[in-house]
Amino acid sequence: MKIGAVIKISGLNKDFPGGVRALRGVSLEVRAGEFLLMLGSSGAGKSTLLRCINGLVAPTSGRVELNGVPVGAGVKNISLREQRKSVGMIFQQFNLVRRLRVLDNVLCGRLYYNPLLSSCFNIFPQRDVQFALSCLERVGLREKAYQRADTLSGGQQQRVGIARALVQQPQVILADEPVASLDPKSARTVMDILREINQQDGITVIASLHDVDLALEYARRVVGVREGAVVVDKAAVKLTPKDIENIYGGAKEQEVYDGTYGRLEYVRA
Amino acid sequence: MSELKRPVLPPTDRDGRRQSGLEKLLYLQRALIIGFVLAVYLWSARGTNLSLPELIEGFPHMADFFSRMLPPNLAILKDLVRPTVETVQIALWGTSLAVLLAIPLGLLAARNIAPHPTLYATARFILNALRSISEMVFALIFVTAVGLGPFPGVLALAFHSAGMLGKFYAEAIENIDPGVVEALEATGAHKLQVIAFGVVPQVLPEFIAYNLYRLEHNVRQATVLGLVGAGGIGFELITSMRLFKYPDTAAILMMILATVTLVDYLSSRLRARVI
Repeated sequence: MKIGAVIKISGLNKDFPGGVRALRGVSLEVRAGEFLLMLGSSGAGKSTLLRCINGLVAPTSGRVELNGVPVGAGVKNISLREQRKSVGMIFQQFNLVRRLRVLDNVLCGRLYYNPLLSSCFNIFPQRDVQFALSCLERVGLREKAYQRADTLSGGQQQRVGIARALVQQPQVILADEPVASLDPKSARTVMDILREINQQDGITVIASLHDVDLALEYARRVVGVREGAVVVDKAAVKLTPKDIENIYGGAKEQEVYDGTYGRLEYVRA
Repeated sequence: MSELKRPVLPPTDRDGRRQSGLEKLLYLQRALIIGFVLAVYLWSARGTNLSLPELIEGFPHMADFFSRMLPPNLAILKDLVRPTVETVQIALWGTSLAVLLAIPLGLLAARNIAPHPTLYATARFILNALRSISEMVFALIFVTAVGLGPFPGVLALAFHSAGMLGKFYAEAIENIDPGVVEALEATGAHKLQVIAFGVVPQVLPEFIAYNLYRLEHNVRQATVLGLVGAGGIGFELITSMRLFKYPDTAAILMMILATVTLVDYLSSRLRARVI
């Protein structure tokens, strides 16, 4: 495995229209194979930071590099789509296509690899279908492959989301509050799967969480984000109560950004 | 943090009745709005010569007209089959061509999908223009351009319906769950793939329902296109009236009623299935 930073973020700022400063001078390096959990209250900028990594949000200034290549800059003939292909993402609301079957949802992760025309008509090579099924097996949902996605429980839907990310054969998986909508048991299952693919496949995992206890249980490295800035960055075992207080800050109800992660912006992109 | 004030219910009703200056102003505003709306209606009634006495005076004439339609001349029904079928054919092709036109326009006119603001504005403008020109006006234009017959009727329905459908599509697309689109973009999918997997499945039921509604509407509309020479049963209708063959007119109206009812019924059955 390549040693060195998979992701290198330097001096990242993001201002949203309306004067909201979501990120202020964030710098961060993530090495291959890390399991990094991002902590912070809602509106601290975690979602925006994650979305800058795969170019869903374009930063106001600063840069994000993936394997040494700036994201979305089209440098060395590497397109933003090609970069996104190697970064899987899972979401708090799962974001599955509800009316499609589970298998079709997973195959969405193979869209980059397939010809435009045939894939638009939902025609995928047998090889991709087999791979999608094996990814579903990995998350324990092989037998649900031919059901409609919206017939599954929340925890199962999130596991489909993970399978969709896995078929991308990603280097990195970004998880934006992956367990915030789940019951404690499902949350644990999802976190276990994320840890497993991190350890077995060497896929770098960056997840945002707001549950401190869960984070401490799973994380190897914890990054605390507060008001758009990184305030803590250390190994999970070295985290002190003071750090936690620092991240969540004097309990003052701050003027928070409501966590729509600049949707308007990617909508226009 | 400052201590919050608890809400207090006033001890008696009387306190509530005492109106503040602001409340009085709001009442005045309401009265003014109602007065204005009434004035607009009265003014429009004068503009359109609304008159109850005239309506009552006209009753005998109407009765006379209807009596001359009776009994309907059922003998011509067999001659009406071909124009009736043509009417439905016009509606079918008019609607289908409209769908083809409306899909790209609707995508471009959806704020969340349009690739560029200029394209968005252009698509919106085209849709508005198509919608503001009615089928009959389009029919007049196309009859002039391509001659009498059902084909200009097809074109007329296609263009006007494209404006209506495109607007509906755009609205449906703007209401989709943006998270799905985001998730697909995050996989590195091409824009067209994002539309095929993120947008199409979400809007498909509405899309089919709108198209069927439009087909029903276009069958009704196609029955009058013949009035301006654009094919269908409307031509028989206007001819019978011009020749004062009112029993024929009655038979034609019956035919129209039966056709429209049948198409509406079939279409609503289909719609119930997709939703």
